[in-house]
Amino acid sequence: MSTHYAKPLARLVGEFEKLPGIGPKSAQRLAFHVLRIPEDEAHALAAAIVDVRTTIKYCRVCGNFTDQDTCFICTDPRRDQSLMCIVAEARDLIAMEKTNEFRGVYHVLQGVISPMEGVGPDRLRIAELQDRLSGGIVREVILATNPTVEGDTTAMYLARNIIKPLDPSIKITRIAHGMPAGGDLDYADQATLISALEWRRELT
Amino acid sequence: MQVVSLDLTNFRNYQTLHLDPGPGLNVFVGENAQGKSNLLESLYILATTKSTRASRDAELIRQGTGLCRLQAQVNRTTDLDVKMELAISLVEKKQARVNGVKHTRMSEVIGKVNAVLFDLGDLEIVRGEPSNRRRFLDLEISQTSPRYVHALAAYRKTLEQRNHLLRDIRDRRAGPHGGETVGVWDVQLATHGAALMDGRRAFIDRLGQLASETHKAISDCRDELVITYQPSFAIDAIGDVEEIKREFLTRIDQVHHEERARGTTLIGPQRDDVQMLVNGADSRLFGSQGQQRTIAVALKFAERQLIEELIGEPPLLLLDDVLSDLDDLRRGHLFEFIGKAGSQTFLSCVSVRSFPPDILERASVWRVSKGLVTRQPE
Repeated sequence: MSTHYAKPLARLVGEFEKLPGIGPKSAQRLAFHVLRIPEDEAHALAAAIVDVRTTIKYCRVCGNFTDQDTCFICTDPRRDQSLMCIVAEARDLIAMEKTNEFRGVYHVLQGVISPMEGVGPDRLRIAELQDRLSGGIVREVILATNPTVEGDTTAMYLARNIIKPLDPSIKITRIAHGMPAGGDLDYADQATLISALEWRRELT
Repeated sequence: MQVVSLDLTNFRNYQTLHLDPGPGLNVFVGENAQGKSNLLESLYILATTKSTRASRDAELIRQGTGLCRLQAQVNRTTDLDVKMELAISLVEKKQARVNGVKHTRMSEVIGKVNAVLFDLGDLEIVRGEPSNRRRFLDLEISQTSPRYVHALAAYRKTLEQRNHLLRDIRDRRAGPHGGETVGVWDVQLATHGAALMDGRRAFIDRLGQLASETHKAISDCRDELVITYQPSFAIDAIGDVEEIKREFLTRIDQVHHEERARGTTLIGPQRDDVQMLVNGADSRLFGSQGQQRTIAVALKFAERQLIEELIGEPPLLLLDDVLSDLDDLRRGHLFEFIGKAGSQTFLSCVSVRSFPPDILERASVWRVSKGLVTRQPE
């Protein structure tokens, strides 16, 4: 730790540096910013951090973040309970929600299978998923993990080892990968184009 | 494709160099450590933006300076002529200019100039460990197949994850359900692995044939070179990539217990090799220095041929210290072959004494001494 700062300031810089995407220079800038703003704003920032940690928890049903026992999606009666979208992280759920298209419910795994990071099925919210699916209400599961090696593996594991053995009548789908909407072929990277060719479908 | 001028500033041991190479064979003569290899390396870097010898770009910058520049005017027959400039700095990102247009993403400039380099490291393809041959395959196939690049990245990631999992299983750290996921990794491994195997097999078929023809010519029809793909399990009788994938899954099932006991993946492209037989004998074990060098040269000429077919004109041919260990007969045939190939060629050697007179007459000969390059005869 640098000795150029007074101790409390050094402590704040150190805390900022732990945040994702923040290097030493940004951390210093943020810390000096906190010292410059009016004192009540700084208190508001501190209170917001404390508040979010004490009130926000995981939804009992889907694993999304909520300040209630159950999140606003799971309690929404207009949501189609027979259609479930499985995502890796709560931020993926938010990305889906922003489309205003998906009217089903979610299940957040809180990660993907990655032995290198010590994440196996036991670290994911799979037992909760099995509970939800054994009710017989869900008719289709959309696997919406990222199209990475880990995301694909997780999707395949859920389909083969969890959902199929539990209830073979549940329809299992995987989100498409390929060209972005409104995208230009000549701007797309090669992996995307290869995937778009592989996942092509017949026009009728 | 022809380099009509080359300019180097603070590159390796060159403070400044201006060179107007001849159209055909350019011979660079000099003692060791005078800058011959550096000169060939500079052309290779202008083509690929990377060095095969330097582990860090900083090594390319002349000691005591902070920035080196490489510049070449290259005339092409199937495309626009290219003025290629590269600036490599200690502090900033590598920068390229193609006909004056700035690029900082090097992938955008690769392929504007094409070159095939033979250097001492290539001998390891013939005599070294199998990993050298796999690296050679990956490098060459990647140049023309984006699908292969994609499969290679996915395979490596899958293999790393799967090995980690198998180690955890062996050491009983995988958790109650960890073992169940191996089967899913198997499918991923087989999918990407089959794509790699299919790509390697096709490439070796083509390259092997071309290399065999070259090899025959250089060795005066005395030696028959046969190059065959040796995957970790046989796929001779297997047709397409889907069938390879099925076979992969069958094979990996057979080593189920052993993999879990040893904690690592036992089959797949990471264990591939390429066998090079000369008159039926494994050149890696039985070949002389000269024989091994002849094979490495034949591989490079085959690569040159493949690139020419792909781009429609001969790429530059850079031959660093290719002549040592070759007998006079093989040297003679090699010169013939260089002439026939039609590539502008840059060749380094210690002496031109053994050169055929007619070759020397038509070549541009340069003496390299302490970072100075002078045309011979002066």
